[in-house]
Amino acid sequence: MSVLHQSQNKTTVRTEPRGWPWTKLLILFFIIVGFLPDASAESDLCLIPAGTFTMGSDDDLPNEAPAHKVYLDAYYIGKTEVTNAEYHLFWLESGGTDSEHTPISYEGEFGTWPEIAKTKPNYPVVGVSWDAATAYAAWRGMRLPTEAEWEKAARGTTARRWPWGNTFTQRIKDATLHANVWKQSGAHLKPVGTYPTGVSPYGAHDMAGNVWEWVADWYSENFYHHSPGRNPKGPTVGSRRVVRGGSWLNPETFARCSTRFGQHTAIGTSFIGFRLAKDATPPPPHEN
Amino acid sequence: MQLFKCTFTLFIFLQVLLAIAAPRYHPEAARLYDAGVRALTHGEHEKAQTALEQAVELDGSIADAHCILGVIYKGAEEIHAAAEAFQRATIADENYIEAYYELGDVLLIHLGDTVQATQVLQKAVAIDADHARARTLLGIAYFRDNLTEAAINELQHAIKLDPTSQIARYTLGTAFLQQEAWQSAIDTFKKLIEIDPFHAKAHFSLGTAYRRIGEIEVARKSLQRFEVLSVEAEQLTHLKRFVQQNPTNTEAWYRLGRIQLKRQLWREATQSLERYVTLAPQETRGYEALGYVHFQQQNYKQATAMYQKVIQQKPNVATYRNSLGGAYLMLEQYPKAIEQYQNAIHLKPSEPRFYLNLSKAYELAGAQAEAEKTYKEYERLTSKSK
Repeated sequence: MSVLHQSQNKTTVRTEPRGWPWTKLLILFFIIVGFLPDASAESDLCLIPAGTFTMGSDDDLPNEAPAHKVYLDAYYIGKTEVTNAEYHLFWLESGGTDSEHTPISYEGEFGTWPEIAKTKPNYPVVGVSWDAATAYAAWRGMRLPTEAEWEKAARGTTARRWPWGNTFTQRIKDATLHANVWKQSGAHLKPVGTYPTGVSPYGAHDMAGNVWEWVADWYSENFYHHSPGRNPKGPTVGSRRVVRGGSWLNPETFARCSTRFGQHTAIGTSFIGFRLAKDATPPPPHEN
Repeated sequence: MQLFKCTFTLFIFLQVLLAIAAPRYHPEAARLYDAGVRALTHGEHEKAQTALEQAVELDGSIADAHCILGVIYKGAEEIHAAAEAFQRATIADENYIEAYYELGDVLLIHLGDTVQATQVLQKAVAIDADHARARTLLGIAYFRDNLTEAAINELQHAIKLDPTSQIARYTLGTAFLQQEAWQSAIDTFKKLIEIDPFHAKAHFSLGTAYRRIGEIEVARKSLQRFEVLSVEAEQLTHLKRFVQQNPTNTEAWYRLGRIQLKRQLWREATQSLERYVTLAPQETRGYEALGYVHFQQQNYKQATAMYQKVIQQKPNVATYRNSLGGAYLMLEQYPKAIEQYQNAIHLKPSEPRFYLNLSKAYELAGAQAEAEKTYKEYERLTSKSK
């Protein structure tokens, strides 16, 4: 999607009319810069240091087994899921109503696109396919996290069942404390970061519940039996991509850090969103 | 002419561009697909089916909607409709491995069409060589077609990908039997029994293989085990049906729960025994069995509650006190555990394991001297019994 950046920059240069007053140019410059997505805004990202963690679980669903050690290089992951407001900028640039990446419009609480971007800007964007999520990530100069990156960011190095710990002691008088998961009374999407007590060991929000999150890997139920121990990137082929973290539609057991599920890539749903990731390039060696 | 060519090329280019740029699916179909998946998540199969059928009618290109419909039809035993739906999914997405797998499953297992199933499964494996279930099913198809060597290859590959697959191991063992490769068959069935000690057919086949190599005594044991497990399996099936028709029959619920407990089907055992204690709250045996099931599932709080109920009704049985002590120990409530073990010893002073447990509780509570003293008593009793 760097193509989009380039084309935008080119457009900026081309449309620069000669003889404009400098003040107008400056205002125009700040408007453009103000609306440009800031790929280097690392305050929106959590740094996950390099190291080993336990991936999967021997005590839960068969596709989570076996629990195994995985080493990952350092990387960044989004503090929150990508929001409607953030996605809206990309959508506009990729063609607006003609964009192939237009989220599906739902009725009722999920609203219609693009109105929802204005009425619920801080809600996670949903109704986006894996392809659209990947395109957005590239436009931001980032990528989707791998399945392993997602899981480490959620559970840390102590194999937590949920991002905050090993028990889902989340309901006090029907109030949800840690995560947005299904309740019999009916569940809804929530703005990102609504549950600060549900934060992961590295500071990532909503890694349990709210929306399932697309990750980069193809889904294979038996992949853990033969996955590599360093920076695994998933199977080389597949027809479903992995989604992680459970959603407002699911009970708490689906929101465990090791729960994994495969979803067909070509179409979005009202319960799948995504977050971004990028490599943490090591700092340059100190110059003497 | 040149201008016409240019205009025409530009027109085609724009058409292609528009086709690429337009949203992929019919918007209403996409909404219906979403509603269908959501309904399915909460077990509303009929609602899901209606929504998904409407979705594919509006837009036949949603491969996943076809595939999910296939799964719903299969669940309702509408096998031909399922096969059609999976086929449509593969047309909508020609690389949809899961749809090929499901189609292969329906063709092979439900319709017995080995030839077509083999073709479909070969396609699935060609797309994803690491799809363990597709390779297993293909192995079964080869085996049914008497292509034993090909079946063995496929099944060995499947087991490498998923070492926990019981069906792959069982079919592989059976293929070895057919080849009269007795030792390979024995190794395969033994491994399968390690994974599932209650696999009756594996015990039978293991017995058969041992008999063929002249190991008569081992063969006899395996065949006896097969008989016990088969009778149990029959009872299990019968009791499940019986409690459905007679949901207030306490004895049936208890017997069902006991067999499920024996087979380590913890979740099912919990359900049956909970039903039993609701129907027969005065009976100690239900709480005792349920306490054991909870303990095995590491639900120590619930185990404690069950053992307390048992003791309320039968306070003078040492083993119940010991069990309650064990649950307290796991909850790290050491003083309570010590108290229960002491009660157990008081009720049955000749039982060495109560002393061993008490010494462990003392040790964890930090009472080292008491722990050593009790452990010596345990040693004294065990040496005496020898």
